[in-house]
Amino acid sequence: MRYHATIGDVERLVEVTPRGEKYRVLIHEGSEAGKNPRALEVDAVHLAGHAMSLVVEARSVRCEVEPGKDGKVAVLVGDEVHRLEILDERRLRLRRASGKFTLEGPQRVDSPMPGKVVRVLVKQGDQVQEGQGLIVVEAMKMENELKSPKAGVVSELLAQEGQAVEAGAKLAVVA
Amino acid sequence: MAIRKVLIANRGEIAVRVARTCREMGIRSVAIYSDADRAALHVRMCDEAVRVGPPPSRESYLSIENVLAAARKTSADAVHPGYGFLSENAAFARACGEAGLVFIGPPPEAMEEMGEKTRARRKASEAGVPIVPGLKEPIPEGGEEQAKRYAQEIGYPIMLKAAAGGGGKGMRLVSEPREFDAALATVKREALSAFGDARVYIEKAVSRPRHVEIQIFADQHQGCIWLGERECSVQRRHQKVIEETPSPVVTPELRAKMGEVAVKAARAVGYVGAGTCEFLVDGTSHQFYFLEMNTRLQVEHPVTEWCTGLDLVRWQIEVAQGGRLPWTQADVLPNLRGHAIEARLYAEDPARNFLPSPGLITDARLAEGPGVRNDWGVESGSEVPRYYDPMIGKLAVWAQTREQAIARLRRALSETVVKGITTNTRYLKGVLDLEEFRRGDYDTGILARAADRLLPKKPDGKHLTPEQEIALAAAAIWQLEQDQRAALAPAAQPAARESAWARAGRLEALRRNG
Repeated sequence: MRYHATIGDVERLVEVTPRGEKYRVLIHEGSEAGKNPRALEVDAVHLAGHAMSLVVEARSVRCEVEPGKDGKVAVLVGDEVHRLEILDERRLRLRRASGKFTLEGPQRVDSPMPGKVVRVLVKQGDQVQEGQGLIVVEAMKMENELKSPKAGVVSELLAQEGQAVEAGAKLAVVA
Repeated sequence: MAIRKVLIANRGEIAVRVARTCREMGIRSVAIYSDADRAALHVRMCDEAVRVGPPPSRESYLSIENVLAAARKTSADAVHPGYGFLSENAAFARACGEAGLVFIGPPPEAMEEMGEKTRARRKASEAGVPIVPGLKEPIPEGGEEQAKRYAQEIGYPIMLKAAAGGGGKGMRLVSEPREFDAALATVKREALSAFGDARVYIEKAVSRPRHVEIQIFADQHQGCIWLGERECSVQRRHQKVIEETPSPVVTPELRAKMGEVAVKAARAVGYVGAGTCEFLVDGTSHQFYFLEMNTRLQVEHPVTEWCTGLDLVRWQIEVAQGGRLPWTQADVLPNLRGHAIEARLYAEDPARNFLPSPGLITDARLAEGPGVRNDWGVESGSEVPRYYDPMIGKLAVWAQTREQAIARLRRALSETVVKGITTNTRYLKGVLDLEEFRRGDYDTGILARAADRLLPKKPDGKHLTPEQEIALAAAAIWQLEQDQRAALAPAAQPAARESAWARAGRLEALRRNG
């Protein structure tokens, strides 16, 4: 099976084939099949929950593979979490058709964490610069200023001073 | 009097830590909790628990009235304040006394003496404790020449500081007399524009300052001893991150001198219980200066407990009951052994400018093995509320040498996994890997100077690390298995409310048995 993976900023074509009790994994150098893919012999055993024990050549690694809500997969290797995207051909096409992330058009400003809106620094309809502070959210005794992702006009302003907000709550839109 | 029931006026890891000692001593413990903490670990670690109000601290953990009502309701006979919250509030200590409760801490008068910084320094200075020399008053108009003579007297380098200043603005280091006039003019200008106040004062410059503190302990019978030092120079924005004992910079002579001075300061205010004298140590000259005294148990007390073998909370309770210190000063040095380091785990994201990361901890796995101690206020399934301090736990290790202790803490951090929220574990590992930290050659500026080196490395866009390759392989195998299962049972309707993982487990079991 062939998958298109994105890890960090790197794209890779990955081929995985069952081989008896093990798997053969080919990691190509880019998003296309190349001549010298990295080849790994992987023995994978499922443990409780999301945990897996991998023996890669002779290296023993504890992994956890957890699908996230954002479509990405979080993979814990040893003590580091790697966030990556893994798509087959069909999902890749769907994904490409849905358009790429871009800073053109209206941009949402979301609360990065659960907290309380302590100050709203702009009004609806205000002209703002990229990087200009819009809203201050407080959590754990620390104030965090949310900045405008682009230059434009505050087209929607949902944040209200004193309001409690959840992580990911839409606070404003800059168009 | 014998204490039989202690109300712990705190939350999180310190409440858990105090409850543990209470249980060992056969003393009943009472937890208090706000609405945000009903399900918190400290509530379950105590024998009794009382709600003290809504989530905001000032309406719950900081409400003297509500805390005292909880003590009355449960007939507690003593209060342990922990650190933070009401621990250094003299009015609270006094109110406890008036309510007939033993306050496990110093007398309110001693708290007041040490509470205000300038007053504490004056008091310490009167007791013969060295403080950073400087003019206590701003340089008056026309007093420049006199100020210069004073600078000469205390010796260069000196600092010129804006009287109204703070946050590193309106400060200038002056290395020699001929720079004085120009520097004074600059600082005045900066001070005026930044604070609207041009007044400037002189202080001796402490080069490469290190934050070293001395643990002291006093009983109600004139017994007062020091228990060694803790080096706390690894700080980010005045927030301690890693603490160790002994300090790499403190010699036996310096330790004895600082210990003596700390005991003198404590005696000067009639101190009782556990306390800490904070000093600034000049990393070049090894001169030391009193900063302030903390009239409570410190966050970082576990490193002292590791190297002395003591339970400081047990001592606090015994002293509060009127007991005598079990050790004299002569018992301390022969009992100090090895090296201990503590790392503080914060719910924050160092990669996003240390953004707080409250939320649900889906999984917490703590380090085990030799020489490892965990003090945590959370466990798997805990919610880290957004209302309180982001510290969720501490990891403290002991080993025979400093080098081994660093390696052990590194190892223990790599066993520590917290999922669901972001923590600073990777950042902590980065700090332990810093060359200057390993050499023990650091000061309070270490984290600011190393900020760039401590940020996670950006991928180069071309190559994968071996760990990234393994992550890819694991994800690909996982995805393949998902896809195969989906292909095997396309028509099978998943049972209602059965999670994908439960279903995957069932299929796995079928496959194994079939």
